[in-house]
This record gives sequence, C-alpha cells and structure tokens, in this order.
Amino acid sequence: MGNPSPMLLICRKDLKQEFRTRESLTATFFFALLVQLIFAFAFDFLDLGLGFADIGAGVIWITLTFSALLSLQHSFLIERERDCLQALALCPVDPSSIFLGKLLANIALVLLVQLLILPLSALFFGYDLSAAAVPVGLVVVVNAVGFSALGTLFAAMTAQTRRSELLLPLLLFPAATPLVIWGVKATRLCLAGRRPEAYGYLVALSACFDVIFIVVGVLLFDYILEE
Amino acid sequence: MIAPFRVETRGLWRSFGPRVALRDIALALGGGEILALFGPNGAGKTTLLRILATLLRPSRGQVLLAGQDLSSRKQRMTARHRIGFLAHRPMLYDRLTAYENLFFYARMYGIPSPRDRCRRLLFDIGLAGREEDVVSDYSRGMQQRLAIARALIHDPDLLLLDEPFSGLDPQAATFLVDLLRSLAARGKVVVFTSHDLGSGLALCHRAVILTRGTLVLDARKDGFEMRDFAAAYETAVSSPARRT
Repeated sequence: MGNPSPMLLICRKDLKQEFRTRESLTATFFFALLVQLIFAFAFDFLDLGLGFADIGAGVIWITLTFSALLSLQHSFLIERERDCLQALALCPVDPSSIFLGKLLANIALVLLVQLLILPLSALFFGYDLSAAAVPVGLVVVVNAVGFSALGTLFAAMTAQTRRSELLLPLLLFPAATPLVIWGVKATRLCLAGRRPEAYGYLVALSACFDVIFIVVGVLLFDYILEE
Repeated sequence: MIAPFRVETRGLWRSFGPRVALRDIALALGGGEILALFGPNGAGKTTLLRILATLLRPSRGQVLLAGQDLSSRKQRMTARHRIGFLAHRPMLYDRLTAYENLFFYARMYGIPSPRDRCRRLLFDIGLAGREEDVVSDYSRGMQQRLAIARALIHDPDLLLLDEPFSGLDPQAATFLVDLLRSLAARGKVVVFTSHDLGSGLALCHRAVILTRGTLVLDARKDGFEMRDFAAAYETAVSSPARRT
C-alpha cells in the first residue's frame, strides 16, 4: 500500500473528524439559514419593485462570507485544542503540505455549505436558479477557494493567540474585500442573465487572487508553524 | 562503524521580546543517556525541550543532532524523523479513535507497515481492546499513554518528554519508567522535565537544574547523593541565577 501525500492525509483527517461530529457543518448551515431568513423578513424587496436578480448577489455573498468564517475558525480550533498543530509541525513533512491539506478540507466544507444554501436562497426569494446555476456555481467555487486560502492562512496565524475568534474576522474581512466585491458583481451579472464575457474578467481576477494567496500560504506556513 | 547517537547544544540563547528564556545553554548527551531537567516554573525547561524538538529556533547558538547542525530548514525537517516529543497536552484528536490517531501519525511519518506498528504500540501501552474508542472517552491517564505511543510511533532516537508522569496512575507510571529505561538500553537519548525530584532522580542517569534560563547544575547521578541534590535544588531555586 502506497503512502498518500501528507496533504491528502491531513485533508482526510479533517473531513473524517467533521463528518463524525458535524459540529462545524451543522452550526454553519443553521447560521447561514438564519441569515437568509433575516434577509427574507427584513427586506420585503418585492414590495419595493426589486427582483432577486437585483439584491440576490448581496444576500448570497453576505451569507457565504459569514458562514465561511465560522467554518474556517473551527478548522484551526480543532488543532489548537490539544496542541495538535505542534504535533503536525513535528512531522517530517513539508509545512506547505500541512497548509494545503487544511486548505483542501476547508474548501470542501465551505463549498458543501454553499451547495446547501444556494438552492435555499432561491427558494426563500422565489427565484428560479436553474438558468443561472452553472455560472453562479462557478463564481462561488472560484471565490470560495480564495476566501478559504486567505482564511486558512489567517486562521493558522491567529490560532495560537488568545483572541483568535476576534482577530480572524478583523484580519480576514479587509483582506478579502476585493474577492467579495468581485464575487458580488459577477453573481449579479450571472443572475441578470448576462453573457460570460460580461463577468469573465471578474472571475479571472478572483482566480488570480486564489493563486496569489495559495502561493503566499505555501511560502509562509513554515514561519507560522515554527514561531 | 556507525557513530553512537549524540545530541549537543552550544551557546544556546532564546529570547521572547525583552525576556530571556534561555542563556548560554551547553549540553552534550550521548546515546543511552536519560537526562532529567529540573527547575521551577518559568525556568526555561519547556523552551529548551521545544528547541531540541525543532519547534522553536534559538535566538543564538546551535543544536546538533548526530553531528548535524539544525539551523537550516532542511536539516530540521530531516531531524524530525529522529525526534519524539511528548508535550504538556497530549496532541491527540479528540474526535478520532486511538487507532485512527496513531495511524494518522504513522502515515505522516511514512512508517512502513503502519497498521502493524499501531497495533503493536497499542498492545504495548495496554490499550488493545479500547483502540476503537474515541479519545474524548478516554481518562487522563489513558490519553497520556496514547500520547506516549504517538511520540514513539516512529521509534525516535531522541525522546523529549515534558512532565510525562502528570496524570498517570502508579501502574502507568511504572510502565513509563520501564519503557524509558528500555529505550535508553537500546541507545536512545531521553530528556524529560519534572518537578518531582524523587521520581525524576530515580529514573535519570544525569540531572540538570535550570533557573531563570540558566543551567546552574549539571551532575551525573552516580556523582551525588539525593539529599545533596535536593539541597542544591533548593539553593538554586531560592537564589539569583548563577553558573556552577
């Protein structure tokens, strides 16, 4: 039996823990559901003459951003609880593979929640998502990768601090602002039924953001672990 | 002929901001040696262990493992195959079973036949039959035994233990003493911290006292009496740091 890469081992270990208890998934899902409900009741947008295509992007991205934060925070809490991050740092593996393993698991969990939430959004706001499902899905996937890369990096940096729950959003939200802006704009164009040429550059910008922060994470993770 | 395993620190300093945690620590340990690190809280024992474990880099000075200077990233990573570390906390995943925890680390260390290795270790530490229980269901003592197995999963040449006897019942403590002696008999280097002079001195070959980051006494067990060591410890702890 061949030994799988440390990246896959870490990803599998994280997913196994999560699916065993569903602590993070359940909390994140219900949080996202509540945000959707609050939006549905707070903004009676049909009376205002607005459609889901007008405000749906905002609703979707606010929900995605905050629910992803919960998921990312949990990812390093399980490592901090019993000093497991130190045990990972002690393993004779390239630290970048630890970052990539955690990132892979985070992307999977963030996307899983989004997969459940997007159809619910459409349902709450009475919108037929089927026509825009593929482009919106693509925008969500590309942006979730970047958000998870940034979140994994900052979650690792703040994991050893006393106020990690407070520090992570303070670091993550400003840094992820461009990604959220591009995500909202691209989603709005998708929901409006615009052609890919109209939002393609926004998806490309988000993809560049993803690559930059994955590379930054790979390069910096060694220093984060050692100090 | 393979040279015996050796660990050495030369002029080791470590600071955290303005606070100096370790001052000019020079130690040399040969294969088969068991070293006890004594000292009050904040003396620098854990910092020294973390530097030896490659978890922290020294501010100044060198750590040599089997003659290799661990100042470069590549050498530290290679050295990790030969270092086992048991910290204050067990470094185990609560939501995984004992077997899953060991199996995960066995694969991270690239151990051949990881299943056999895990089963054997679980048997050795007396957890066979409970290996499918999640760690959160374990008592403190059982978790500590599993943590010891985790630290030994890759059969390290240097075993570092931070307060290894805390939380162990007398039977488990006896087991650990026997285990550490058997490891030393196989040429491994064992370094442990302890607050308990009696049990620590009974186990070690050599004892060191650290106070305020300074090594104030380094003595071989056959060269001192328990009563003298206890008196030296009291003096070192109650007086300003000095080198003897």
